[in-house]
Amino acid sequence: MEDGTLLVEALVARVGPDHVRTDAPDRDAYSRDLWPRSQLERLAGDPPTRPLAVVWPGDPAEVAEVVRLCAARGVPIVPFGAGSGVCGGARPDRGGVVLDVKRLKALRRVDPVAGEIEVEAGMMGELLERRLEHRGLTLGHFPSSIVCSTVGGWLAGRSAGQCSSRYGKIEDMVVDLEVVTGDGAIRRTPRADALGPGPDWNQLFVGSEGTLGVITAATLRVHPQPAERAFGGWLMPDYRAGLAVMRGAMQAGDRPAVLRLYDALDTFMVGANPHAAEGGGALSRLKGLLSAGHDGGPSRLKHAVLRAVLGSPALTNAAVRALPARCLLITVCEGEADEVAAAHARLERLAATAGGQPLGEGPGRTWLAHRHDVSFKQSKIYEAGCFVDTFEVATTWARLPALYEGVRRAVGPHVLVMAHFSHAYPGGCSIYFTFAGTGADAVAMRRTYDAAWRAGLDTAQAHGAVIAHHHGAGLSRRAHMPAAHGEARRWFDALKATFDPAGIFNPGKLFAEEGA
Amino acid sequence: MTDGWTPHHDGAVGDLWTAPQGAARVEVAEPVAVARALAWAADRGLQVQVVRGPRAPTPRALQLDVAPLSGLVAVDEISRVAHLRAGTTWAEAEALVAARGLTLGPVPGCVADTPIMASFAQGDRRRPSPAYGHLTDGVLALRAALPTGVLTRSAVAPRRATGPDLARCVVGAGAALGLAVDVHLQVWARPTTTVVAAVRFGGWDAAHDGAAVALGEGLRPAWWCARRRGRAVELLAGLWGDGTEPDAVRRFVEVTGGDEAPPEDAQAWRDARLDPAAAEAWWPQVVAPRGGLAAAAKGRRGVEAWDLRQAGATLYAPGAAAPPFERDAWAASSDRLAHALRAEEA
Repeated sequence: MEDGTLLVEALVARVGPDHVRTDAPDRDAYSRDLWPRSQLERLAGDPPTRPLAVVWPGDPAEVAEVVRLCAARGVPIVPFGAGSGVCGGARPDRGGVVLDVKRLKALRRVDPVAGEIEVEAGMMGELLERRLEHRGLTLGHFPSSIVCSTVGGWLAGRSAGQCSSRYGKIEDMVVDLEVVTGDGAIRRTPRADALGPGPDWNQLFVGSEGTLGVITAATLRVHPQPAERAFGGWLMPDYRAGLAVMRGAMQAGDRPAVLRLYDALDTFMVGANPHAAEGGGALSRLKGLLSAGHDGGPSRLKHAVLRAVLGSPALTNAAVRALPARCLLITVCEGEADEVAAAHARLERLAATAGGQPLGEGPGRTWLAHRHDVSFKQSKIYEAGCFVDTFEVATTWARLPALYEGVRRAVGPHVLVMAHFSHAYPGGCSIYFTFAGTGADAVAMRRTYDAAWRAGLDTAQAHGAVIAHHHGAGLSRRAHMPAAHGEARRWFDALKATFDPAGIFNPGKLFAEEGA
Repeated sequence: MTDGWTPHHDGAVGDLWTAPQGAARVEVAEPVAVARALAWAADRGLQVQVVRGPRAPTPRALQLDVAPLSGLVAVDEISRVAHLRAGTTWAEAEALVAARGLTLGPVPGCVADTPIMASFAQGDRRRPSPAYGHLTDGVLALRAALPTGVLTRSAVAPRRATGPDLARCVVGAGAALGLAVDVHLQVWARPTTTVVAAVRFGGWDAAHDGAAVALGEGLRPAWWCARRRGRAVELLAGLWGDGTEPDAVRRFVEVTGGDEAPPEDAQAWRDARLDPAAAEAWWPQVVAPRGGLAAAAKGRRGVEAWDLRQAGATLYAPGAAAPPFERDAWAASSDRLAHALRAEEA
């Protein structure tokens, strides 16, 4: 511990005593992110690995100093934004120092003429969007975690917002990055729109999940606030008909902000009130099972019912197949008036051709109002002795139906599963699976949980899909990463050797370490 | 075969030709042959040149003749994704998908004869299309040969979040980190209408402002560029459509805010500028920020702008000296990365 004590003293000397913490509550709080498996581990009595210290540097120079201090001692650093990651990417499983970037929160530059901002990595998503809104701008990046995630976290995990079909994922918005690498240097990547010889370094640091360096700031593209919005909602005969509408719009060159198609179970969960459809529609209904009423507490009876339903996933999923195949499609077009009118009109034509029953603009408007609700609904399900999680995969349009059916079949024996299709591109789309299950105890739940994940990702890979669209890899997909990348892993190892020669940045994430 | 070559056989790469001063040449017909050749060149410290057909020997370089590694493997017509071998030239690729009623978007004449593999290795930015992006942008999957002698693989998908986009290691990095051997590219329905709009402005910055407004309004020309016309600057745009926008030219003129100009010679002028023979002449470039175009263009004869973006543009000036490539920290990183890749293999 002597080495640790010396390091902490050095950190305090450089960053200040108010910005280094070694007390148990802080180390506990930073021992995990929002990966649901961490909760199952805790329920099973597994102690988390706490970091040696939590550090809040105040500027890139202090970040660089922390990196140099840790590199000299071979102490791991886990870069940390707001901890809303759901893959275990920010868990300090090897101890070391958690480097929280939230004091790096400046909006350094806003250039509405060039359509660019320069922002520091610790800026919270919602605060950034509010500040841009005051300037008549938007980043166009609205992940459901926007109130509890940072710009740095978005970049580290290749995040996607709900309007990605129009504005792209975060990697599409990056102009350049400021990064502190393992030698303690503060580096600026070449601009993506003026690349010289050499690879596009931006795209090698984006998605690196803290394994290659600490992203401290970024230049991002921004857009004027949309002048117009048009909302659409249709009940499609089945999910394939809904996919045909999404594909038709994207391949025509339109860029609707939102295209979300709920499968039959997710549509059913919305029930008689299709206007309540949002990302957490299914979770809302599961939560409803746990509550005596909107303002009542959870009841034992409802917990028992939920456990019974989730305890027989094969039966429950079979029953789901008897549901009407109808699927809810929600669309939002935004931008200048002419573009919005043309894109919405095309959606109307496509939906009519595919047999869609129009529902008016209500579903889209309600979705927009409640789109960030999903992140706060999981705890009730865990209280009932159950678990819930999500995973998102992506593939081309032609392969989507087989992927969707295949994953449901594979995961179905373990958990109740539903899905929605979103994040559409001309060539394909993402599927966002939500699954819920239970077990006799926490250990059994974890076993079921792991089996569901393994079955889902195995099947995705067997169908040629990518195993993550926007949540990242972290620990939850680590076992599948070698198969996902094959020999391209050698590039990653070379990048690691180049930018993190001491091997201190978030060790064991993305890929397992040698011998692990 | 061009004079100077001697047939040779090597156990590692098979049949090849050699010439004095360490020049070598090999034809590759399969992806694994590219991997073997890269490893062979790396072991001998040779540069790698991607070529098609016979060329004169280049000292200390392995010429990789990729002509046999050509063709369309498959087209996914639902997803509109073409799977192409990377020795295919862009013109060949466009012809192959055109036969299916599809397009890669505009293929400039200056890159028409370039193999896909070479464009990726160079990080080719010579197709700055607002509607279709750069030629190397629409990649859903890329398989590469590494200088360690192995092949990568990649799932076919529009986006992913499985760590860094490692395939970017071969885009713009020469052959030091690997070469693309086949790619899945986004393709589109062929347009049913193609028209050219010409809009005149008082100067470079005004023309760029007009272009930026068009982008903000959601207009996405298939191609565009700007040229000097006396004291004025003319913005030219190729507008491709499906016939649902009969007034595309009028709308483009209105949105950009300039004066409509006769477009008679625009298409011919553009085609001439994009002729492969002209490519070398206008390749030298200057990237200018928004508001700085007039200053950057001052004193340059025949200057043209071909990559108009929200935040600036790239100016091309025939005959101008290319700016020297400064070996900055990132270039050193590139070298270290290539070294680490080889060291890891060893």
